[in-house]
Amino acid sequence: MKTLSVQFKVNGEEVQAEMPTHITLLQALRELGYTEVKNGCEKGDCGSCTVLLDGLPVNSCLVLAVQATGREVTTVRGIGSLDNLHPLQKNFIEHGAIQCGFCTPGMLLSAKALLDENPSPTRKEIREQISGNLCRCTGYVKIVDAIMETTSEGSKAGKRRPRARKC
Amino acid sequence: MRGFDFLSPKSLIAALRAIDGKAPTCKLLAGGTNVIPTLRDGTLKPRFVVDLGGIKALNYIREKQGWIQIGALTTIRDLLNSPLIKKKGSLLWEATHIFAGPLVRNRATVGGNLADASPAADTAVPLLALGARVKLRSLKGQRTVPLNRFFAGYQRTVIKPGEIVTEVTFPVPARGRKQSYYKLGRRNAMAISVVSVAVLLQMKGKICTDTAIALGAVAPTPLRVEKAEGILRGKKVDLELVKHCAQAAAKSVKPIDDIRASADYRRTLCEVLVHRMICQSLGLEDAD
Repeated sequence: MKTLSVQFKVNGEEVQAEMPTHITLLQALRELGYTEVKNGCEKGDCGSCTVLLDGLPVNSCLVLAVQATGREVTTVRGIGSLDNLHPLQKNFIEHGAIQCGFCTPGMLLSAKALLDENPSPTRKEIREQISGNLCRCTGYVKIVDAIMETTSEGSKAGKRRPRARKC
Repeated sequence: MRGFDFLSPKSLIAALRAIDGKAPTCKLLAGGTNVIPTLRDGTLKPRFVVDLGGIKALNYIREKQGWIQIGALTTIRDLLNSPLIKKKGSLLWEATHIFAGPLVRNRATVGGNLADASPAADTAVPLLALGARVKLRSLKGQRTVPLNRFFAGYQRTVIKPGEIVTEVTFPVPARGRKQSYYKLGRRNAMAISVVSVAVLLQMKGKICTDTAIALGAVAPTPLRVEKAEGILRGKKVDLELVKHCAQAAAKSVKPIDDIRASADYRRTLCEVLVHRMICQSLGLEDAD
């Protein structure tokens, strides 16, 4: 088996390991203990393995681990913790935007990448942004509501009673 | 996935040297969104994988002497965010919106999409209509191939061993060109095209002086339908002529049955969509 020494940052921490050239970033992250990165379809269709690579959301199953050399990877653990939730995470909980939870890590990272670029997206822009992240439980309405609430417009409006809207 | 040697050259010349003489056992990686799944499922078993992603010099979008030049490693995201593409290559710009999903667009490249040569390649259809050319480099030199002669068959191109796609370039459409693009998929995001159509018309009053009609997912390669184009060229365009043109387009395609649609459906949709796109671009009343 061909291996290479690979070095990159995950959530700010330096990672260095000897890795087979053919394993994907998804496989590498899960083997290194970052099991919050979910393994769904392994061909870039479902988005559950989404991570931020230098701030941009990508399917980690479509990146070879060796390609991450010198780059920064952010998983959902890097955006908030149990005692210090990211506003998106708070709103996902408040709006009931999580059911089985399998898509949630990827969904949160896609949403975060959007809000980093555009703090006040429209519902349409939010739906476009999460179009590579499949959710088979919620029907997306509550996810879009939760992201909407986290936008600069949503936070200005203050705490609103979550209500179902046409998605 | 069998193990392979992984090379990541930082310049084009280093990449050309890296692949020199290794052709049958070597696979190039651009964005990797198509190649990596085929490496994983064992369809491809290369001995060498050469990652072109580190060649920053092949990532650019610029205008030069009436041509738009796009480096082969420009991502779909970069095209989508480019004011120049939006303004002067709007057919291509429209296609970037429905290209897979945002996660894939952040990695996938225009050069990779063309070199992959899928009949449903989303950038190929608008680029064919725009009269694009592909630049290829090898250690021996450089050549330019018109995109309509670049695809050699299902997932095959005219790229020779030792060559790398470096640039795709198209002439800035003349002012007043009429154009329309449509991709029919099973859903909005992450869809592989069932039929896609790009139409570009040059009009002088009601006379059509030049036409380009490109279709995707209806033949072994994305293609221009030259017979159909010829029907409009030099004529006064009315609904009757558009109908003939759309029928001719549907006659010159060779679709297949697959999980997304039947060949019959695709052929019918060719006629419907070519008709609709021409009418839409010219503001003609579409009787259908």
